[in-house]
Amino acid sequence: MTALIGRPRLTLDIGPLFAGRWTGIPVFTRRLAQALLSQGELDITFAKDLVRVPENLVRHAFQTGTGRYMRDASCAGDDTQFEAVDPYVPVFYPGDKGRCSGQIPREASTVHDLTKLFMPDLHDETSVSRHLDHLAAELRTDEAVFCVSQATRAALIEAAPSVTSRVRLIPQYVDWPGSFAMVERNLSTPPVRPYALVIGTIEPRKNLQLLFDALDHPLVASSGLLFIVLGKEGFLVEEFLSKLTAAQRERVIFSGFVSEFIKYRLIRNARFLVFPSLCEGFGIPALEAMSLGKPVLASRSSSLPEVIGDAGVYFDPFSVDEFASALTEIANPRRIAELAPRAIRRNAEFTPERMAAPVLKWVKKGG
Amino acid sequence: MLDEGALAISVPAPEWKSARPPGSVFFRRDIAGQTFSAPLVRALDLVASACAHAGFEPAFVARPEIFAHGDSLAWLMAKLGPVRDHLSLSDGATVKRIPGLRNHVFFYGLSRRADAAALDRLERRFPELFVTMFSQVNSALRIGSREEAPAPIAIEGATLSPVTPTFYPIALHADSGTETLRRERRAGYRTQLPSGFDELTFVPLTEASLGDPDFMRSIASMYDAHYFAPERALVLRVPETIGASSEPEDRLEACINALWEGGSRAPQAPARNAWLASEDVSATALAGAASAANFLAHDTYDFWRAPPADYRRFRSRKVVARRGRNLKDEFDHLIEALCGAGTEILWRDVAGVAP
Repeated sequence: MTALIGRPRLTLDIGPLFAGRWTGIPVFTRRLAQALLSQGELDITFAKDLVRVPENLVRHAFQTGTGRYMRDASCAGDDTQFEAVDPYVPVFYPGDKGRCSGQIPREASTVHDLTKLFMPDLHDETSVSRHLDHLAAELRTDEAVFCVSQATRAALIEAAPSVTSRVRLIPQYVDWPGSFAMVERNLSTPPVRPYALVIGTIEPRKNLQLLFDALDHPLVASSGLLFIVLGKEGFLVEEFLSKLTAAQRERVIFSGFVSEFIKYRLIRNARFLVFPSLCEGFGIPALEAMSLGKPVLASRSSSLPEVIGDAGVYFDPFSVDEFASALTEIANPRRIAELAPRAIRRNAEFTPERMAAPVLKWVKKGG
Repeated sequence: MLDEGALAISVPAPEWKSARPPGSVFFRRDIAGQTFSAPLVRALDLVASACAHAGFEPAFVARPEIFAHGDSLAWLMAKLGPVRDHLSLSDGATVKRIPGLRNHVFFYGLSRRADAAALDRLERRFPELFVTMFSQVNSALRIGSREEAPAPIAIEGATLSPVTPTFYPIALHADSGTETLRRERRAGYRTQLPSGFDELTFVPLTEASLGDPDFMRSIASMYDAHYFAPERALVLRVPETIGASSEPEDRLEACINALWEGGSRAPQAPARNAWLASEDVSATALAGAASAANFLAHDTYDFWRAPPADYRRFRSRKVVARRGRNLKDEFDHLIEALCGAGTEILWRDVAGVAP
């Protein structure tokens, strides 16, 4: 039964946190959980597939930044440890609802992007089928549907106009452990020439091909900039990387997946972020860069203008010429100096309170 | 769609596999020389020709889906200027929309099994996606809710592909495609039909129609009926592609297998009056072979491939249409517009009606 007195209750699905490496939706889940906890307005039960997960395991995962220990600990227990959630408490899913979709009267899920529907060519077929089947089922049973940006909301409403009245916005925020700044201050500047950073899984959706095509453009070649690509290798990566010429490889460093601190350090020492994506649901790397005062050279697509605002320089994601011109503009130190404070100001608009608010409102007031 | 003198067109992203758009907004001349699939090129030619007739050149949008909102959408609108209509050329996997414009969809590849299956999946998952589409070009599909399916509009075919067909005598034997080609090579290719038949029936098979058991049973029966009737001829046009393959062996083999599976009991020796044609054949060419030519097609045929004047040269025109797939009255009107008045629609439910 729902508590009659005291704080409203919420079951928060933390399934995404069981991943070993946290990027994307796991990080979103962690930030939302911490934002809700910090507000102190809800009595929160953590769960995965409607089975309770002890809070101490979740808090430990927050500290370690990985779901490995929580996964092992959950599997190690005997059956008496497993307890289903209270079905009369609303459940919030930071990702998709998975196999238990529609089991609880009050459910809400999060739509991060609609690329599998509108850009199926950029994903593998199995993932498209699985994701779209889940999404279609969720839209039928959700009391509220949370979208991570206005652009995602607009795309969702194009696909399913009947959900319009149930759609809410849930903008993310960026947080860095306080120790990062202190440790980084004590380290020397990395011994590489001036570079721009690219953050994201190496896959067609990230449109790195535009960057590579632009490397031969006179404006980009004369910039002397190095490009560091930070991210794991994703869909169709072998085919993509095999097309790189030797000259292109000299201008680009692929770091692979790195720890949060290395990412922080690479952003801190970059001139600016390059974000050539064809489509983003939100674009958290842009906010991460802005939080450290770095402007963003971004494609004028999907949610990016909405997130970056006036802290970036934009280009057509299909135009090498526009990219090269925009890069020349943002590489100018005077322009960077102009954009850096805007980046800080813009990032400050994305807070834990703002992320938690729509969930609190939904839990308290319903659909 | 064409009456306001401005139109934006988008094409499915997989068509860009061997090409790259020169920008988000461009014209067709900017991508001259780039390679796209034959069905897409045909559809683009059709629409471009209709636009030219209306006195304007359509613009292209590379990825309309990335301009869904706010500044990015405003930028696109500024680039497009007076455009008020957007035509999404769709392979069935998704349908593109541009908010604020009147959106139309043209499923140009529904004769391919993969496209038809993709559209089925899309409609099952997101039926509402079609509700706000303004029209569907050259189809009358029952998509989305029955009452709210996009209104069909017809863009008539302009000219038939001028490619000379090769005619392969139908022979139902094992290892069919390769064997058919081998025998044909031995005998020499036939690029013209023999003449003197009283009657000839032309059936343009589509890859999707090969997967329709009722339809293929009818075609197999028709082949059997022709086999020992030397005064009548039958020409089955093979689909352009089978899956990803456009190899002649694969295309022939798929047709021969479908006739087998359709239950043909004709002898395995090559027919003297029934052929598989590698390409479309004009009504004029067919009429030269027989006193009268008839046309029979499955509802997945791209009726817009040929102009209505071509269809009118057939003595009879019949279309086998599935009731669950098409909007009845709208399909009748569409076929009349594309193939001419007097085209008979053979409606069937699940069980099917023999043509």
